Amino acid sequence: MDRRSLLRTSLALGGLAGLGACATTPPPRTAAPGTVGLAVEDIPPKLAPIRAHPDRIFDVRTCIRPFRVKGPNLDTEQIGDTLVVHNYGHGGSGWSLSWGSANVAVQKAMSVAPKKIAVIGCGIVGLTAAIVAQRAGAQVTIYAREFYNRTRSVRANGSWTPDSRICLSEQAGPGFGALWEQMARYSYKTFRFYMGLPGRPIDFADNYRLSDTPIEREDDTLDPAKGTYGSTGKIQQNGEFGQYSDLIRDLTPKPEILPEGSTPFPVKYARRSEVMFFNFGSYGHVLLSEFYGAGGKMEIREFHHPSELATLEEKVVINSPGYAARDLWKDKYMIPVRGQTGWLIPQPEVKYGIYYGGVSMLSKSDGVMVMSLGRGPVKGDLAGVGDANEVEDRAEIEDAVRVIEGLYARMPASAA
Amino acid sequence: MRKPLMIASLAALAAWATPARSQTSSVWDGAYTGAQADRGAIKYRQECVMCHGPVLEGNGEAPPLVGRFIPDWEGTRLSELFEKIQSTMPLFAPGTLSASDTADLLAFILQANNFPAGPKDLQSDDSLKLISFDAHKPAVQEPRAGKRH
Repeated sequence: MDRRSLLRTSLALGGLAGLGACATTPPPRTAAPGTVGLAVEDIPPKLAPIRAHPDRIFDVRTCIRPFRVKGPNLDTEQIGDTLVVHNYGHGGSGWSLSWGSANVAVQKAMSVAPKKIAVIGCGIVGLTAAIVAQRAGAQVTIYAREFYNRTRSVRANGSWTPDSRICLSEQAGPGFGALWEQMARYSYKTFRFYMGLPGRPIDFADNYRLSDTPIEREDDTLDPAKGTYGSTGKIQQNGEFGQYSDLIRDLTPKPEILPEGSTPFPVKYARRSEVMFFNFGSYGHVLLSEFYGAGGKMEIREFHHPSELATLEEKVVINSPGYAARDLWKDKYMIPVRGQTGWLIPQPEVKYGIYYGGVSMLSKSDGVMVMSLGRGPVKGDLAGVGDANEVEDRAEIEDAVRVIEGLYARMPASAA
Repeated sequence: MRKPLMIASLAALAAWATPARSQTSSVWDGAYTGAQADRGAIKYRQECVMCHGPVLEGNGEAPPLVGRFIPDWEGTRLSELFEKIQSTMPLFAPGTLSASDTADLLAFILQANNFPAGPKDLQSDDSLKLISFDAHKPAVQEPRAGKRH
């Protein structure tokens, strides 16, 4: 689309908005012919541009997703006189599934009616398990190597992505879908209680997927000729990853195709979806306050061997060490999956996210988060698999920021 | 004097050898049958699953019927749980479960919490007052050396 036609569209939208504000009769349900054909309430509003410039990057964080090919480990085992309930290996879905997974783990822990429970790890999975255990009536101590704000959890993306690298479907088995759905629904319901609080611990935003070419769904069908983890011992293709989102399709609004010219963005194709996300700072603050307020204790401690858990005063332990389970429990099903986020200085006036040219940006309360998701040689869920390098790669984030910088450079001033 | 003493000793030995038929039993003694739990599972799917969840996990508002359910009810008698279910559940139609359906549901819940089945159905009468809800399996009383004589 050329700038002139975008300008026309913008003016038309502006005029419509003005009419809606002044008219004494209700505004028409649909935009006038020749504009966009969207229902009035669905016409994208004016959007503050993201100041995407590399010198505004103030943080780059790298993490390893605790991916487990069989899906999260929620089994129990006995170490001496101590019951250990595992709760680790949530891949790219830890933030999303945390409450549901905590509920599964805590119910197993409470089945022996302990007065005290230890939780290993203070990432989002450990912290929520600790709070759920408190709600079940237990006195809880978290033993962790790091406090919450130094864990890998806060170096993640922190959006509602409940089946992002959650398992390989073949290894997790056909029964996993039901467990996953149970955890996803329980979590989603629990997030409701953390909305509307100061600092917006949990928030929603429109996310615009923008493209100069038609937006196509990635082909993730399994190709038997390529081999699989089961046949080769290594993950070979994106189609191996478990996809379960159809089970909870009813929870979230459907993505909308936005006609050309209906958004302020200088692209031909746009699709809008709703994204729920977690603001690490305020959400962590609320959770830690809740934990301490209920009498929780925290002890910095690193474990080197599972047998050390039996030396704890608590005889029931919920084990949520995240990726550290690979070493501590010699869990051969744990595979590192590298991920990286960059952070631009916060822009509270920006209340949306975009995905364009293999780059995602999302405005959160603690910064505008940047991810380079589709610009590397490996696409889809396979990107980062097997990579345990946690050294920041600022160049990757700068490259991503420039892509978005270029997008806004094409946007006419009148559209913003 | 020797004879009465010996009789008393024999009586004591008999009491030790055969477990005392006490007034109460525990959920660990096989309080329901597998068939009854199966009937309860069907009823559960009709009346309870929408709130308490397919694996009794609860939904955040309706409490779980496993896990913390055990400490929540520890130390009570099954009659209390029975009355709670029958008088308050299902939430949308409390008091509509028949006594036998309630007993079946209770059997299903006991099974879901890994309490063992036994040879007889759980009854919906005063016998429930004699069954205690214990969180922990009572330790088996081993004969202790040095106490026999």
